[in-house]
Amino acid sequence: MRRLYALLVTLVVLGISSVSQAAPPAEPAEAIVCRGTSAEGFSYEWGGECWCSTGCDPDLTSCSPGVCTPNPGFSGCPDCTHSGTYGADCSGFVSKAWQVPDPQPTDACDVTRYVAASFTSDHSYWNVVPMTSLQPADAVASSSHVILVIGYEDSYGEHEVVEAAGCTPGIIRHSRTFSSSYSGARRINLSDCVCSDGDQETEACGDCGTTQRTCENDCLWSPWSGCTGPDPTGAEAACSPDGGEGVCATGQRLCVAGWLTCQSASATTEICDGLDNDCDGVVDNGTPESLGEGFPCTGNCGVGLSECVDGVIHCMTPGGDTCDATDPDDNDGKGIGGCTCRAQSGPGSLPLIPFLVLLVLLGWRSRRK
Amino acid sequence: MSKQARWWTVILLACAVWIMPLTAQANPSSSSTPGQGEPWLFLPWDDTVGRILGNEADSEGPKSFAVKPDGGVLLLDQVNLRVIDLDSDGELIRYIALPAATFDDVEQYQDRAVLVLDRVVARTLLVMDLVGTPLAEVPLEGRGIDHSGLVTAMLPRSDGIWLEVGHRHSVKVLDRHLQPCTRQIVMGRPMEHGYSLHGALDGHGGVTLRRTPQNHRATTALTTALSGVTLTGQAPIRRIVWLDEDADGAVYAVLHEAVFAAATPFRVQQERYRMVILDEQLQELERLESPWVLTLYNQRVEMRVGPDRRLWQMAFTDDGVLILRWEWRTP
Repeated sequence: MRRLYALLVTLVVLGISSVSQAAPPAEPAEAIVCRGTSAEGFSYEWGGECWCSTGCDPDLTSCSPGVCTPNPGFSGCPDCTHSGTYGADCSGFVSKAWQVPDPQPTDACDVTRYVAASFTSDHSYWNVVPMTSLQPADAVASSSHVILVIGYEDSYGEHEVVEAAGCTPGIIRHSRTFSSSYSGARRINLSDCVCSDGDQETEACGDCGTTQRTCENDCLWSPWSGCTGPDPTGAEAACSPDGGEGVCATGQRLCVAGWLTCQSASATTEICDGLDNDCDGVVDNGTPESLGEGFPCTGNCGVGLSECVDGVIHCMTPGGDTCDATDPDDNDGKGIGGCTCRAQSGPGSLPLIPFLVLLVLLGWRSRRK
Repeated sequence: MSKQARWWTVILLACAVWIMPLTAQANPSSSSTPGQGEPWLFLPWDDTVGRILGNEADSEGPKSFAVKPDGGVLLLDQVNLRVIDLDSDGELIRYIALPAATFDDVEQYQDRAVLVLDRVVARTLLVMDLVGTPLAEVPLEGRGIDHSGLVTAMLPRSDGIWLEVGHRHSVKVLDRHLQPCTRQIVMGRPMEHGYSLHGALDGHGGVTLRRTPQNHRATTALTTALSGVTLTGQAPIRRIVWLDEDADGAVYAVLHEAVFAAATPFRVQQERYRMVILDEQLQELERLESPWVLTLYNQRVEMRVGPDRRLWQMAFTDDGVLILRWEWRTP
């Protein structure tokens, strides 16, 4: 099988390079992308180049996708076994998607095709293009692999592709990047212009969004815009996030990337306010710094340290009493009657003045000693 | 020195110490530190780590790795159907068996679970305990994820497991108890404390970064305040390799810089990874550069931010897999 494949490929490449063939059909890039996506889910077959399609979708019902199994002790082809009629290797897949050297239906097996390395240099049916200008329907090739690009570069510089990746994964569609071992190639005879100025298309996406594209330069479609939609309003806007605790138990329904989602109120630093600000299920359990605890404080009834009690900062005396202006001095640990010495509450209110007063008092006391 | 002069000295020194860090932040390093990565571990091909040399097919090495909270590493050796679990000294703890060779990302969630992602074949997220006992298997496709092949990152966060889609939005697929949940969706990469990071090539050889409250709805004032920064390199930036933040909120952007020939066949002439570290306000703190870049072996994850506030890189050589750590000076 390996020798047969090598001989076949050699003959194909030699034959094609020496004999002028019919040019690939004039068609828009979308037709190539459509042919490419229709192979997803079919098996990898070393030396193969066929699959069944229904429009842009694979036909996995009428045709068995085939199975590729690495031989014992090996991880991939050519040391592999394929069962089933349909399947393709990387170059068979791209050759068929590009309709080179001859136009053939996708389910035509055992037809002439190229090897991956062919796509790394200029050819009468394609031209090498910079990796920085890849477009849908371009190929990306190295000496051992070739991939069909089906999407524009995303915001990180990756592309959506379809590739016959190998024996185990088969023909897959995903987002990936390319090392500098790869070079780009663009097939000839792509229809120059497929739309006119003013043309616009809109499609629904997600469950609340739409995406649009417009005709650019009176010729080609722009990439589809990101999926977006309006946020629900009124009664539709309120929601309760799953598992949200504290302030995060309330939320607002938004349309994000075209999908309705319940956006909880944001968790924030826990402060002393009787609320679960950090959404961990416990009220006022922050650090002393975030709660404003442990700061020296003073008031009418003496010097103490700030402490968060029931969502409010209290000034606790060393004995544990706090002044709340209502509790009689009954040694119950809750305060001294008649005094009002509640410290400022809330975070960030560094009790600087009481602290200075404490320092003065300590200094005065040490001088007296 | 008089007592008064000593006091003035103390006051001036205190002022200098107070001003110095502010000055350092206001004037970020404009030059890069060239390759000073610390090799942490080398694993030879074939004997220790599996690979596939593509023949009319893709070439594969380990597709991903993760730095564990304890400083050890999980290496996805999917070719050999396993995850290699290493301790913080690089010693083998165990092999965690995988049910298929099609996983392409690995992560650890706190001290509770190992997660492996199969984006394109099984299209599931497999949750295992730390010794590899399967706990759950979650289908990827559903709300927020039309096609699992477009999942571009797996992001464990304190509130659960997020999957980024098309480098555009992220979907929470498991809650903090690692249970499937009503999927929450945010734009960008979710960070802690209700923020998201957004990165994008600007089309002019640079990258824009923004850090915003999750799903913020822009008002004029807020948009101005959140306009972000533009990063440039010594060569045009072609790709954002990794974007994340550490536990202190420092932001790490790893960027692929490359120059290509202007004439066919447009071969690459120079390339490197530029690592830019920024503070929470996206003020630049430091730059490093790595000569190790993506090779012919397909790789999903090349960089991670470790719990030690270092960048970790998994690079491939002719002989095997090299794991390096990149340290930056504490601001």
